[in-house]
Amino acid sequence: MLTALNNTPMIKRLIVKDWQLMKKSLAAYMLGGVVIIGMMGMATPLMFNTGAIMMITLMIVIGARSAIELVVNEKKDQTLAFMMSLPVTAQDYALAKLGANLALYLVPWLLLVLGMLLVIVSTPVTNGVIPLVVLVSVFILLSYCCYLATALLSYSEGYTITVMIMTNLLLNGFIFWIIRMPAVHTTLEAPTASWNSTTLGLLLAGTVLVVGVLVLTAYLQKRKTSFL
Amino acid sequence: MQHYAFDMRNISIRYPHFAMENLNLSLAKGQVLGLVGVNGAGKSTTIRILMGLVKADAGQVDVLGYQLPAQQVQAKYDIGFASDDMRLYKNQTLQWHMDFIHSIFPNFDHGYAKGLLQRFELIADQKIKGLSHGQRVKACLLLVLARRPKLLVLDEPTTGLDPVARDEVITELADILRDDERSVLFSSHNTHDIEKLSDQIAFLDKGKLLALQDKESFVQSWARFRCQLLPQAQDSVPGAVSIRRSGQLAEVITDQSSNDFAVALQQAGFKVIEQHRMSLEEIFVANVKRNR
Repeated sequence: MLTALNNTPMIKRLIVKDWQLMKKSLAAYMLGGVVIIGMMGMATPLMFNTGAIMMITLMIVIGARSAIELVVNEKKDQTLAFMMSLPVTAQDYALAKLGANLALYLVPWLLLVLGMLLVIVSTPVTNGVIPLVVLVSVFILLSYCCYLATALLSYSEGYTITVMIMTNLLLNGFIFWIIRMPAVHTTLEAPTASWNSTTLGLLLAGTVLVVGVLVLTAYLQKRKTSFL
Repeated sequence: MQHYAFDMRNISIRYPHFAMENLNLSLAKGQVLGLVGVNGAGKSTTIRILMGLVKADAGQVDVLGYQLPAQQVQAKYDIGFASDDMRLYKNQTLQWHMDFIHSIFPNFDHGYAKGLLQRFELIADQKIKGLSHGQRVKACLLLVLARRPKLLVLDEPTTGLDPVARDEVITELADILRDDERSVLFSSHNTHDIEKLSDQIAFLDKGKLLALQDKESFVQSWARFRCQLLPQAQDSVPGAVSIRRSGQLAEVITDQSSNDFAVALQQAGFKVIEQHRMSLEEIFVANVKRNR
């Protein structure tokens, strides 16, 4: 880890490189996000719900594209050998990938979540849905961290897609489960966001899991002795 | 004063279906070493250990005065590496790659890169996905060479090229290597490529270093004798690597070609009919067969 910290300029350079590679796709996704937020802003139940489904899909697509394009395809397209010929260690590379992917996902994720919250507070949509929106968004972020970790540790398209499918299935179950929870269900129609111990507990658990998955990934990557 | 470009000592590594035991390999500065071996001989493993990409189970690796893999970051600033399985970003142009490399290596020589662009007949603004395999190999070499590394490591760069592209790459490479005082490690299973570029040649098979000599010594010390078997012909001849009998004739291969060996043949009941120099490929095959 010390070596990695000593090589910060190279790690930053690799992150910038990934940003350059993804910026056009990202711009297109953000444009899609703006359209979807606009739909949700129409504040009719049909448009809001359709927009919410599309937003979930968009968040999943951004994450999947970034993990596959920047990690799995780097090995599949054999650009990994090119990267490893540069003055970096496997740990530097993994940290750069982690950093690049997080930046490339967290920035649009945050903007999309904030956009949705802005729509909710500034339109007749009841603010009571805010905890649900936040919790589902955090679950999607956690799912992303899981398949990013799989991609980084295995560089396998098969394993990564399997984890993507599993987390997407779990997302459906999670939404179904959380909507039926009295602590969430009873406050959905409330005029203000109602954070209670259940929703805060879930938010805390989600955040801890996100951090845990990322730390575990960095730790396991550091133990690797062979690269390529 | 560091005399070696790299020095690998007692390197051992074990995979489920491959083992390398106590490999010792070094390269003097300014020399070109050709590493020859069949697929699976351990060439790429050796190079990956040398680049710090794989950690050996045992042994020491010193590259340009740096201990690897611990000091690989510092070492890699002076090592240029290209391999047959190396690809560039297909949606980006060669110019993008040149700018990217320049942002990492301040010594990137744009003038030299421009010269190489013309020499390799490449277009800087062309996207990588529009290049042929031969052009992609040349693009990789350009990016590596323009950094002017002290040690150049080329892992089968000509694999998969058609004969014309291979000849172009090897010819250009030979010219470029003559121009500079770089240390080069060049691996290939194609002995013709190795012969054209290398000062020293190492044969590797199943993770073992079979031989390491300068090119001239190989060619001078190995020879094939076609002999007639005399009635008193013995089963073996001192210095013979192999004896293949066919009726009254025998083909004898030696790695100690000299007048003394011809005399030894005569004394062992082998009448020499003719003597041939061996190509590097024949020497390599004979070496591998002897050690298997």
